Amino acid sequence: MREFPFTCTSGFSEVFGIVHPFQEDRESEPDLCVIILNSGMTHRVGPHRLAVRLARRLVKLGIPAARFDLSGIGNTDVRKDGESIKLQWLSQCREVMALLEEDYGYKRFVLIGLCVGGQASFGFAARDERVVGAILLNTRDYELDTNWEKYASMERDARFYWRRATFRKHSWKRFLTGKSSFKKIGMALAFQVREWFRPSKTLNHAKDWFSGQMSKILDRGSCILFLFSKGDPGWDQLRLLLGQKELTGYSSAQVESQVSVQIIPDADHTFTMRHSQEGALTLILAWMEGFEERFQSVRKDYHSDADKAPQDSDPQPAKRTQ
Amino acid sequence: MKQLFFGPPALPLFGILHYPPAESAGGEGIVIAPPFANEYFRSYRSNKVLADRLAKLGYFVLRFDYSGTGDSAGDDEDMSLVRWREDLQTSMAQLQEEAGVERIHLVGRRIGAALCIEASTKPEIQRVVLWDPVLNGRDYLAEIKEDHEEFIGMYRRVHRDMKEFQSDLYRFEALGQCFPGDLVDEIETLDLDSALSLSHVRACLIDSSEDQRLQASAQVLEKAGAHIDYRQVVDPWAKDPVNPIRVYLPNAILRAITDWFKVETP
Repeated sequence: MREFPFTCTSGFSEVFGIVHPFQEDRESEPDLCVIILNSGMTHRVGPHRLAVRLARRLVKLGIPAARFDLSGIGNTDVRKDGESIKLQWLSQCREVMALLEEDYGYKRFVLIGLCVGGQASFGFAARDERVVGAILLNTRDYELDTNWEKYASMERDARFYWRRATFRKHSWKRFLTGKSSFKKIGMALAFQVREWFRPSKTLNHAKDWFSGQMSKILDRGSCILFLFSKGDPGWDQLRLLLGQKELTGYSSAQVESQVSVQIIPDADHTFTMRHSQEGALTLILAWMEGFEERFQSVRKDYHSDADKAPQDSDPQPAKRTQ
Repeated sequence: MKQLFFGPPALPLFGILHYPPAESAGGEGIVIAPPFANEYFRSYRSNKVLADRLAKLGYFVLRFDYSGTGDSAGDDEDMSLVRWREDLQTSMAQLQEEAGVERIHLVGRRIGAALCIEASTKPEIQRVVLWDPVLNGRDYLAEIKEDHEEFIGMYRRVHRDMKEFQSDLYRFEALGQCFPGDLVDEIETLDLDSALSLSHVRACLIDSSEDQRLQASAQVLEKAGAHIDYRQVVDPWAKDPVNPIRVYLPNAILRAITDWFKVETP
């Protein structure tokens, strides 16, 4: 087993991680490394040891991997420099990438995260050019504010009551026997009526923000895999933020080559059943196996487009059609 | 804090050594034996915090992961109680080598506590903390299966076809962990309630149950000549049916353990 612990000083605390290199000598080591971020508050081993199994299987495919604990999780202490937790995580991730580049020669990174780890992966991918790919598992809310969280939750409830519960015998039985949550139903109905007559600005604001972040990632030629358990609220949010109609706003080449969405049936949020764990691992490994080819072809397209473009023009960001 | 791989090169263990402040360092060390399956994930951060606090008292503290678990080498097929007993011995030897300590104390939680009881016959062991020890393997497995059914029952309302993983290697799966047949057989034979022998060590028995489930065992042990400090510290978050791997810090219990070690700091 060739796995090595590393410690990286960040602010006034230390970040603790493990790197899984592919080759024995640095010269022949690939320059792409997959970084697996924490899932919620679970330490770097990942829920049900998913991160360890993923890292070891990636190495078998010839792809190095690293796992570490962000501030306040697992072995890493909370930094005491007063920075917000998101900024702490951002700087820690940058410092870890710098250390991995210095010690192992990795220059490009794919970030993987579940839930909060997915939020962090998305944020880093939009901010750091070294991040050439992101795999987001059951991710929602991103860096949007609590208004969005409330909106998305109400929208989900409203959709359930209007489109599903209305047509289900079981739901009517619960309603008529007084077992339903009347408060919830009332709120969902009020939300839906309000949306018909005076649509909330929250959705448009969130879409604009998300579109801007996606453009930052895709315009660099980076790739994203969204992976959801069936029924996960994150999937509902993505449909709102980046629904099929909205996808047409990005160039079709970008959508086809750079954005993938996969759904795993019969899986809960943290992939408790081994069957669903294996499903998630298979999809991630398949996506990573084809990553280099996809990435190089996207980059080639960008370069050839850039060659054709007039010298004085700025690169155009991807825009959504209205 | 130092991260290290140690033990057999073919299947190295992963551990983290916590150093005491130089001015208070004594010749004593503590090995923390973690629980297993979903309890391992829930307890990881609290074991880290506990290790930090014990190190501040002047102890060298080593945390480690059993073979086939956590950051250690191996996979499900490498998990066995026989190997984990060896892992605990290897960790104790590693702590002695790294820190040069002569006396060793053990802190074990759940199945880790069961391993500590068995290991405490070694003469260098002085004190042992047994945190909700698994005394009967069959009861332990039944409890895990029950928790799994409760958890999965909630999800089956949404995902009706949630499938069990099919493999000849595993007897069953529960709360995200697949249990190999050999490991299940070993755990089933675990019956420490009648075979407890802690006569030459001082033991602290932490009982987090509301109904003082372990008090009877403590009394039996005391009658048999063991030095037992029974502490009931109720932990309402010991189980989380909604998220069985949710991380939490049982501060009252961590305080009870550090207070117990404070009595005779090195």
